[in-house]
Amino acid sequence: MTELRPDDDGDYQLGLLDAAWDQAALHWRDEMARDFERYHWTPLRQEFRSYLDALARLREVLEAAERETEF
Amino acid sequence: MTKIHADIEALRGLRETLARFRYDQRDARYRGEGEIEVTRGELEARASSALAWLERCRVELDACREASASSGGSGASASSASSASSDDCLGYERAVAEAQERLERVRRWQQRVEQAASVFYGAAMGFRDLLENDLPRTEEQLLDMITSLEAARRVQAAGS
Repeated sequence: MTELRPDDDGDYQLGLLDAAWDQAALHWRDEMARDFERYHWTPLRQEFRSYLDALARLREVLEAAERETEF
Repeated sequence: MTKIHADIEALRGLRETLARFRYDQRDARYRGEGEIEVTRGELEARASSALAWLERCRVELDACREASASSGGSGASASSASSASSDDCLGYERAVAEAQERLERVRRWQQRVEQAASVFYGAAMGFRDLLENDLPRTEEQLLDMITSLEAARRVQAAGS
């Protein structure tokens, strides 16, 4: 099996999280669900997204550094 | 699964997904670190190599200038000696400039890598904090809700 890059794998993981949340949200629609989404779900998603973006940007810089200093 | 338990099953599924996610991401903070170290090592090696080359070029340029100055003192007029000197050593001067540019380029990329690494570490720490502290609490909260719902259903079932 081809190993996924962590940022690609991260997008896959994000999809799994979204699917699980969508499924839960179908049946869970009270005030507690809205609080959960606001205070737990959204921060989790945002933090993970920020991490994945930072990882992708880091990789771009590392690859460029190796490429641009190859003499 | 009856419809009345669908919410419990959905919450259970969500909690399991979160727990699996936390497990899968447990090494998240280490991602990127290995790659940063490899690139740091590579750039340091290239900087050393560029510096060594620059020093060699400078030695050759100095030698050329000395040789030109010596030959210039053996009879030719001062102005023609000077012109010959700069012409003879032009290639060495270009080599020194090129070697300097290489070294500076590597140094600039080393700085950019450190900046990118610093930004990444900040994001990774925030994510790690969420994984180690917030997510377990979230899972606990879901478990409490599941337990409460199950208890309420048992009461309802017993009362019906």
